[in-house]
Amino acid sequence: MKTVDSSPSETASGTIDRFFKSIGWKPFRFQRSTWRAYRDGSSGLVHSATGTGKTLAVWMGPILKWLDENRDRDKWNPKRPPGLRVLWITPLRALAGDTEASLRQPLDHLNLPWRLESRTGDSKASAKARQLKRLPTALITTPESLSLMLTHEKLLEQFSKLEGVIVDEWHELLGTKRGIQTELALARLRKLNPQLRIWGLSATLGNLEQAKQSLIGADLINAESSHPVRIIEGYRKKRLRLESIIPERMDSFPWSGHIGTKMVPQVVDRIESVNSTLVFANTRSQTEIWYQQLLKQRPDWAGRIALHHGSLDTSVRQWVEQGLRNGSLRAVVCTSSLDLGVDYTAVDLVIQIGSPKGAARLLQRAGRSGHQPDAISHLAFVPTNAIELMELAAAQDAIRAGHLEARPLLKKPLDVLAQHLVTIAIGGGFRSQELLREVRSTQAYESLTDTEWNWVLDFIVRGGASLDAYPEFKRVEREEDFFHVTQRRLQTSHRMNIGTIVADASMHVKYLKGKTLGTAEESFLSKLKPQEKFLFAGKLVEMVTIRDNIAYVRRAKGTPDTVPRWMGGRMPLSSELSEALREKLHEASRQKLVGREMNALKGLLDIQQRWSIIPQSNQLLIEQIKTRTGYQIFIFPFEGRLVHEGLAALTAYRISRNNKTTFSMACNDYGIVLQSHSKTEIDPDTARVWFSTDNLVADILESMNCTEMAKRQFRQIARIAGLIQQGLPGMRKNSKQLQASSNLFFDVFCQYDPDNLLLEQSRREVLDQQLEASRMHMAMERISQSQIMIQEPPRVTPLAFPLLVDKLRERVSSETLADRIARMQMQLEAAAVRTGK
Amino acid sequence: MKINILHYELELLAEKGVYWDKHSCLFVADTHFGKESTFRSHLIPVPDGSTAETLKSITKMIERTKAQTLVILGDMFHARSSLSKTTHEELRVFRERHATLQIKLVPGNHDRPLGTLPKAWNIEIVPCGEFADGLAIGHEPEIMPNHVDLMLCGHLHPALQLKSAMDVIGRLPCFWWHRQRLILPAIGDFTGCSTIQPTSDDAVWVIADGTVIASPLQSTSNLKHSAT
Repeated sequence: MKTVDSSPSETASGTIDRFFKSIGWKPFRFQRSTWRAYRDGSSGLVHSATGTGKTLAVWMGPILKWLDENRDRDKWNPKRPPGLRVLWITPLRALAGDTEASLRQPLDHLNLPWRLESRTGDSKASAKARQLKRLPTALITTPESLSLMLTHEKLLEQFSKLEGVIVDEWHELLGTKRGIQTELALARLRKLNPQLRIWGLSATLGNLEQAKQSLIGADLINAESSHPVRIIEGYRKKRLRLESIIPERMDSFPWSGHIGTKMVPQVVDRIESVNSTLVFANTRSQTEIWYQQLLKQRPDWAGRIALHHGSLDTSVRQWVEQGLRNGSLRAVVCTSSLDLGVDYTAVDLVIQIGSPKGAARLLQRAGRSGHQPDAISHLAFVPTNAIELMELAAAQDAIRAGHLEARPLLKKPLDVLAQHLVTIAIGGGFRSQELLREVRSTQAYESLTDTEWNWVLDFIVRGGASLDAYPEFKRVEREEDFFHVTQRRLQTSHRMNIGTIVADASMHVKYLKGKTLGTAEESFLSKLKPQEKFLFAGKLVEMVTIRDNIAYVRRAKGTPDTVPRWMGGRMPLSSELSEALREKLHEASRQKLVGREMNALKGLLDIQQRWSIIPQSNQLLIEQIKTRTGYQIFIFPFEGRLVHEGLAALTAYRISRNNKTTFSMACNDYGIVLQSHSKTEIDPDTARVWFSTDNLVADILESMNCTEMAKRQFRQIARIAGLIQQGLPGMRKNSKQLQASSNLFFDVFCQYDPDNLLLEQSRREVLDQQLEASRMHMAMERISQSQIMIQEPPRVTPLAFPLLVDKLRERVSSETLADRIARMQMQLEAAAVRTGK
Repeated sequence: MKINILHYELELLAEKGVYWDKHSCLFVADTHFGKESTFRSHLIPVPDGSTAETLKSITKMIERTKAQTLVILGDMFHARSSLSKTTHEELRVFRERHATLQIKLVPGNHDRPLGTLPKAWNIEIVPCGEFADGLAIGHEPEIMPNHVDLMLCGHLHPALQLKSAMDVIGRLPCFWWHRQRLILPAIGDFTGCSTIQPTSDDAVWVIADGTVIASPLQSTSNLKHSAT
């Protein structure tokens, strides 16, 4: 490798200039200001599109500073690298390898005597043990591994010498529990060295100021610091080309989408026209299906196209990433698993299958192609059903207007705090008041009350606040004001549990002969019967047996019986995009169709107008119709799936309060369907009452009791707080007596420790995250100003159709179970009479 | 709900027990006493109270039926660590309240590692086998003695998924009549359940809103059918 020759006395910035010249770049102005700010002791956030030199902007800061302090090259000794100076936090451990390679490049060019290493869940035990003795000059790690390191008291001394922490892809962590875990760890590091510089890298967001505050901490922002905290905007002018792949014959295009595989030939053509393509699908199941479809169309592409998603085995993913880097793969079908990561410079085209759900996300994915500051990003959108075309039209409007989404922040989740307190208790112990000050220095826990703090202390010491609820239980030991852990058993189990914020209960999928294919959710695998065939990791396999938390499979022939469904990952349409979508409909209701996408939808919109109406932006459309399965009420707020879930439960609850009935509900990003066995009379005045904001939170909570949402949310909370121990492969046997579902935990806590704040947290998380209560409130305010349009169309309309074919999931009922069972009996008998049995 | 299975007149109770009036005997299965203590001893903070709740519903059934005998069809305790101070105390209170009650236990898979139970509880350990009039008691349905007509047992924690095209009610704990066995729902308050797949020859009664209801998905005429 070419290195930069320099005289021993050359200035640091001179050296850097020569480095940039050697790689054929010229430093951007934003990169220079970042270096200066770092040198001056500031912290800050750098944001810009992907592939515009953010990494070098922050990484050269520490290097320059070191060069400045060590001008005499003769004293550089690679055998005696400097001690720990920089910590680089990456959101995914899969990225650590790539990050290490790109950070190493300037070190090698400059012949710096630094040691650069990674420490993640994938690192070798021997390397980890060595690092515990002496950390390298720069360490790349993940939030989990950083937390884990905080359980080792002997590392604290080295951490106190840390000069800077850099958090990569902060937008990915922001607003998640792993982000909070990071905030708490950063607070700890700041405590150890108050001069610590903290820098974040982020994509452009709607709430950069908040992103900055979460990263740097409430304390530093508020303090009259001599070093201002900076937000630095990176290279802005990246050119973008967005287009939709529109089916030639719209009338044959499905109204409601499955997977839109009709479009496979067109997608193949696009892939053919360039060297390298990333195909993004929204769910892992869709990636499996699309991968198969592409192969079916082009069998000669076997080995030249690949599959990439979070459930695949690390070795498979690494192989795919390698192929992307060196350009040997023609196409990779992936999920958001490839949203992150260092530059895959070879990618020419991004294909997005199905709704991108947000303008910022679309922009970011597009940026995955043309990964150089001056290249053009090119994204082709493949709708999976007709209405999705409208979403791309809307997204283009939102991007043009600069309406990018904000990442909503989480407020003081007590499960993460409980986990952190045990971490600190193991890593040397703590005094209550001291740690409280530290915790409150984070943005997330700035408003933590004394009551909440004391509850968490009680929780980690004796299980809960109530004195008699947890006899004979002891976890963290308390000696006056000092909290620490001496039980080895707790240390081990806690360390194992730290990584569980992301992981859902999952099982390894393995061939009988031993090769691991990846992981899938336990809930899916345990429902499969032996010999059932399913697509996994791009292969057709059949279930053989489940043993010791491992699903054993073998290769199969024929057609799959099922595709794994992975939970989560179903993002709602963002409020920015929802608004843009309502605007598009408004235009359409006035016969104004702008752009290819909207014009392609003309036929469909005409049908909607003929059978019902196209709602204007100040109207709420309700359609009522009887079908084979019952009486349907369709409501179209166009507010995104999460808001709709809440609205559906709320509306069903409010209707059923007045007449005894049972509703089955389904939602998508456009609307709600409520199905019942009897007709509900609707007029605009009664409908207005359904959407009233009076008593909103109380009614939501009441209607939620009828659903299982809080229970579902509690599952994650229970795991993070250490209530449920994560089962590891092969561990099942000895922990069998500790098996209990989180539903059961939820019931037991509700009954015997109803004041447990983790229950309170699960309810709050349902309101804030599952239902987006504040967004829901705004939506209802908007609806209350709207004109309510009630239609009884002759047939199920284009807008309603996708909802009808969606599986009905949640239910709200004001009837007794006995009544419902009796009705079921009648239905079954009637059916038996019909079939003549 | 009173039912006739073969020549037996039994009463299915919403508290998840079965009462046999002819012998003044109450049957319950899978109490899993002290499970919360076991969790706590493994550093998982589960609040106290479910053992007391389970004992409370047994008491309720005893007082209403005036049962002389209580038969526990296995898995009385969850694990060895379930026999904590708290659990001891709760059972002592229960025993004092029902001093004359005869208690029999058919040990289940969870009971095996326990060793001997405290004498003061006065619990008779009985093996799987005939109880009276050709009716057997056991824990696991797979293990059935010969030459009996019916076996009462537990182990499965049965629950029935009730759904039709119009409605999904969800999983409800149930009594399951299946191939000469009547499998009781788990009475333990801190226990889960597993969904059963009954055949058309079976009968199922679900517990809903505090009552026992014959499942609409199976016909109770199966009971007579299998009697012949």
